[in-house]
Amino acid sequence: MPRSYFHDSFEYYGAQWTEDFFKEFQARRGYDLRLQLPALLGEGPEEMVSRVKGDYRETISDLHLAFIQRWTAWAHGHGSISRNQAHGAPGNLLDIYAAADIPETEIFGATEEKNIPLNKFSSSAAHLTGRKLASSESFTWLTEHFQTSLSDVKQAADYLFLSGVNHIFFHGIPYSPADAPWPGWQFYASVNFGPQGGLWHELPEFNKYVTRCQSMLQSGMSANDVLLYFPVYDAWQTPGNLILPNPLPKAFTSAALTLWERGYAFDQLSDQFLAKARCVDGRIMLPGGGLPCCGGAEMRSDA
Amino acid sequence: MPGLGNLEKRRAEHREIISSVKLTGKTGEAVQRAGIGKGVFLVGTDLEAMLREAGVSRETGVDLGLQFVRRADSRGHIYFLANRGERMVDGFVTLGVSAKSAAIFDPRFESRIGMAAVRKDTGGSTQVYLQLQPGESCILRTFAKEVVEGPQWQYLQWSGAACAVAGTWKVGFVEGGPELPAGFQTKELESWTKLGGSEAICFAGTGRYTIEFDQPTVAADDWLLDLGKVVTVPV
Repeated sequence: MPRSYFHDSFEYYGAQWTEDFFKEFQARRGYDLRLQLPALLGEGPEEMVSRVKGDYRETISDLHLAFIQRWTAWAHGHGSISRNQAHGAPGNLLDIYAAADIPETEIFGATEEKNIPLNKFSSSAAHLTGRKLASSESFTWLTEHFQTSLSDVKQAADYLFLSGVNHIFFHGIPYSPADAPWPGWQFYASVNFGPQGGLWHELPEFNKYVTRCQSMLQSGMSANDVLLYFPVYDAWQTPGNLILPNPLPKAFTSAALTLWERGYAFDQLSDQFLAKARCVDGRIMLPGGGLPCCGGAEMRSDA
Repeated sequence: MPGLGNLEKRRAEHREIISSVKLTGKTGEAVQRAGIGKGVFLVGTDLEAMLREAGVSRETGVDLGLQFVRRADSRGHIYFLANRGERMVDGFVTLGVSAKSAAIFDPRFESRIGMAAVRKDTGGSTQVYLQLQPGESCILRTFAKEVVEGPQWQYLQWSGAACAVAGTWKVGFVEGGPELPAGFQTKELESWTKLGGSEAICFAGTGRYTIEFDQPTVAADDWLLDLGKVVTVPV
């Protein structure tokens, strides 16, 4: 029995329809999309186009979320758990991460702190739901082959810990037959941590570092002060491309980066969890525990 | 109000909710307030001004180049701290939480642990003495109400001028390819791609630089071996 079933980053390119989409849309949005097809395809007043496209995007998000929930329930029915990468999905990333037992983010290439708002969705999902682990696909294409040093790897691991990750997965060790001549087989996107990658003998030292950090970061519970509202509708209700992977409103990423750069301990919050939040003895209580302080919201005021 | 379905009805509900939020304060003030139930809305365009108004503390270590992630348990807080800046952090750092004592763990080592120097600043905030080189990280474990006793963290204090490690280096090749080059000797520390022959220029893998030297005569408890800039990919 696998410890967990894994769903990789959302890469269903071109996926924008499903058989009963009209029915699901009607049930979820309360009107018949067949009567608004010109707006869906971008014809007519911009506001109307934005509203219909926004409803379409919310429905696509709902359906992907329902799939992750159903898959997780299936894994539970088979004595296992789910581990999901929500990024890449044209949906509410926070809710989609939160639907799996282990939400998993990813770093790709050199780590850049401007990606913190995207990376933090997975750890926030873990914190809001009380899940113990937030994992990461780590070191994917960190540098070119044979040019990655353990100091590069350590800085990338530290970045992940700072984003709230406490469960690192390596990407990776490519399969290479024992008789393949030096330097063995490579995988295009991996740092080669395998026996012929140059880091093999030192890897146990690095793993001890990761183990010590993670043993601390998996204990207790997250202690952040601020919840930053993720106004996904601001990204959805726009006239552009129908499919929007990783819908992040600019005002949101800019507020999140301000909190990061100025030293505020924060998590990101979706409508679903805002609706679940309760105030108990001056603390905001969520399924995953309490926060000592306040919520922050960055919202567009137009009606 | 997003979406198209039932738009007028939802707009009316939204207007009703919004009209129950009465902002006080003059237009143009940085932060306006609206009490509602037991809580309060703060409205403004300056996020930090609102956070200050709400009494949210921040981790000022970020001003020194540190970043952090923070957890809590029944005894206090657990920080993972990393120096992401370009300068060494060497001094008291104010924490966003209160503590009576704190332990530092260096996660690179099995048992490099010690109790940190902790004090309160004039405003009553907890400060911890940290020494972190650029790229270095540590676990800081705070105790909210206990003064935990234990061996002190070994802070570095320079006790003399640096002594150069000089002499003849033996350079050998341990593992890698496409061919293991022959070893050689050198008085200058450089990448093997600059010092060796054509096989060394092509070589990727593990090399070993070896030298023997006398311990400096300056009195000190400990010695720091400064490896300088370790080049992993020659440019």
